[in-house]
Amino acid sequence: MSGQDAQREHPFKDKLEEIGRRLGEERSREELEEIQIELKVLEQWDQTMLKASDSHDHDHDEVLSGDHDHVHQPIVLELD
Amino acid sequence: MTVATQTKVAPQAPEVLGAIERALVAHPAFGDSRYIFDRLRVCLTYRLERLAGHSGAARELLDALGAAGRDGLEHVLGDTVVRCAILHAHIQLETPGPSPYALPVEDCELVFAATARHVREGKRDTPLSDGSLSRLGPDAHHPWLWSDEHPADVFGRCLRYLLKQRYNAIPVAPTDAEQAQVTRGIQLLEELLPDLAPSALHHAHALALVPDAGRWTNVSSASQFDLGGTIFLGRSSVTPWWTAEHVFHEALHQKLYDFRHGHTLLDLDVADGKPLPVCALWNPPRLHKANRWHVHRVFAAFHVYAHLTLFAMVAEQREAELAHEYGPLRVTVDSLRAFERAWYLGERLKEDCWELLGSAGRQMVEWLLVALEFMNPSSPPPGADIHLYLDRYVRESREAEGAFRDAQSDPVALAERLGPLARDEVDGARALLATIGAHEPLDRIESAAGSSAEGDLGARFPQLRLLIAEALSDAALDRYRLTESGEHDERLRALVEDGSDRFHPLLAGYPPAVADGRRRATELGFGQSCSDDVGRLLAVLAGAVPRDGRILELGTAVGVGTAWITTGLGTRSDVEVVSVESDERLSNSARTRRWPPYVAMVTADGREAIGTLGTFDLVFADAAPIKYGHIEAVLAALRPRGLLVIDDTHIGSSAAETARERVEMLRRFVSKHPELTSVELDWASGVIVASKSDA
Repeated sequence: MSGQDAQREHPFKDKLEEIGRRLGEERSREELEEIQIELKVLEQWDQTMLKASDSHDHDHDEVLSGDHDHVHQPIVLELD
Repeated sequence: MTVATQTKVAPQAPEVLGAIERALVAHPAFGDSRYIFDRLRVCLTYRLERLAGHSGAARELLDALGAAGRDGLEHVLGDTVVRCAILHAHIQLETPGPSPYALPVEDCELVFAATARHVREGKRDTPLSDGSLSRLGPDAHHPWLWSDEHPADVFGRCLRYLLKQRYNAIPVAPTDAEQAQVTRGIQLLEELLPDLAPSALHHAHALALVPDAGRWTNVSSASQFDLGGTIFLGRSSVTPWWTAEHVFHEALHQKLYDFRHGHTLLDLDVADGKPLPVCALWNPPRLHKANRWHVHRVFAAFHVYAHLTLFAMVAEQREAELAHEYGPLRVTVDSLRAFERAWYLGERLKEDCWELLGSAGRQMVEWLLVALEFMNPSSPPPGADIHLYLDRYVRESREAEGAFRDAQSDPVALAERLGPLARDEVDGARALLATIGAHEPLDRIESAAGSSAEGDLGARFPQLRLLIAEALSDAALDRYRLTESGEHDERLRALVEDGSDRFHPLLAGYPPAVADGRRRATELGFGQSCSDDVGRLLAVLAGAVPRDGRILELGTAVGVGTAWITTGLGTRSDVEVVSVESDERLSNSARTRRWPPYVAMVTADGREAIGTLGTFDLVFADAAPIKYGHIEAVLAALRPRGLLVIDDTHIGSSAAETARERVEMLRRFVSKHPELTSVELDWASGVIVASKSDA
């Protein structure tokens, strides 16, 4: 099949392949481990999160500054 | 093309959008829901293993989970109560003492035991599901719909406890019509995004409809990192499109949160400080720089806007086909705005937050930016952002329009307040348009506002803002820059920023000095300024201080209390105000404001300084070391018939015993002191007001 035939058969073939290649990359086990949280640091992580939770308390002194709460005003719909 | 009229990303072929959608779901780390959940399971199990050495119930649950195998536990371990019980018990094991928002350890143990029974009985649905809850669809990814008719078993009781702690309100029992509406919205979402919708919903195990109460007041939808597994939806759902968008939005947050539990999305220390590195330019700052965001919020918004771009593109392209069944398209954010916000946030994450991201976070940013490029190859030039500023400018004009329409507002007074700002904005826009040689847009401004009086301009503030936005937009080289060089963009930014800073205090009728103080507090990440209620009380009492009186504030912080005091004094100049702060950083911040000459800012330890400052008619004792440790010295500085104000007497149930004891001692001292007549107000943060006798 010529390139022109392929293009006629599927006009987005190249683009779809590029999307698959650039967005759907495979990952080895080692590559996944590189981005995972090490279990031994979960103790520190929990304490950090505890502080983060505490800080939200102050953020809510005005409802619009809340964490991920989307607030609608009478006129304007607020979204992140 | 104007900012107001262009709202859509150029259409892409359905095959292309479908390929992007599948790639967003299939990525082995960032998209694959099963992988993301498995990492969450590993991290929760690790904590259970640590707990099992101290808790028989934790051991029981660990054994039950071990016997059940790895698969099919999503709704059990993903359940908000179960995961909170594991996290909270672990935190309390590692950090003894009361923890904010934490379930009591005894309740965690009950949850472990009940969950173990649930798993041993072969159940794989959410432990909340006791027959009282409906499910929002037949498939494994469909969430359960919370109802307040759920009994107070250990799961119902603990969920209510957690929600009460966070939101100070409880979700409602939905009506049949509400349930049908949410179900319909989810059906539409699945129709639009058949791969992404189940992937996101996989992380939302429960959905709760929330009342317009507590911290849900005015909230249309919500989710929280520390309440993983549940999404909250306001009851104001108007169309299936709206519901589809909001459910998708919150479910995506949950997907990211689940990912974050098992991956280095952000640097591990990132929560220790409170930097707010990014300004969400399209959002108004209001009174507290509410548009300054912490990195975790920047990331969550980036992630969701990238996905919402795809949602909106598909929705816009299929509107005609689906309108007969779901009504006309009505979503909160159109595809172009979603794209532009996502692109801007991605740029900011790379340029301003890179050091705050973990390796997973950095890789996910790059991945989502590639996805955005596929959705819309026409991205803004680097650093070009006037479209975002103009978006805010227009949104604020609509707020002003709403304020004029509000039956409770006084339109004449509002017009008077807004008049000087309207004049300055018109002048600023004229000067900018003249500089770039945009004669026709300039003529439009001239003819609409050229010789108008300030009061008239104030009354037409919303319309003038729209006119200015349109003129600037028409004069611009493109949607993103005024001119090729970008050299005049900074003036447009300043016009919008200055306008925002002045607009919100004017709209709220807020004293400028207080608004200024709140901004300084935000810049420093200082969250303990006196509340508006206490501030207004201080203003009232300050205004009543006798002629040539003296006022002492112990604990200036950034000067919010001082601002209320000077507001209450109005035009008086016979009074002396002394404000003491020991923290040099805070004191320096307060000094940056130009105070009236009768205000003396003192940087000193109040415990040492108080004996040297003389006596006062009004004392606001806000600094903890002096109000709890040296209240006798404070009393000595109070003149006969003088007033003492102490706030923050409300102590939460999670506060340390020592904190409760010291407040109780202070309360006893003031209430029983023979020279004082006092009252404690169960109001604001808890306030004691006392007057000193004549003797």
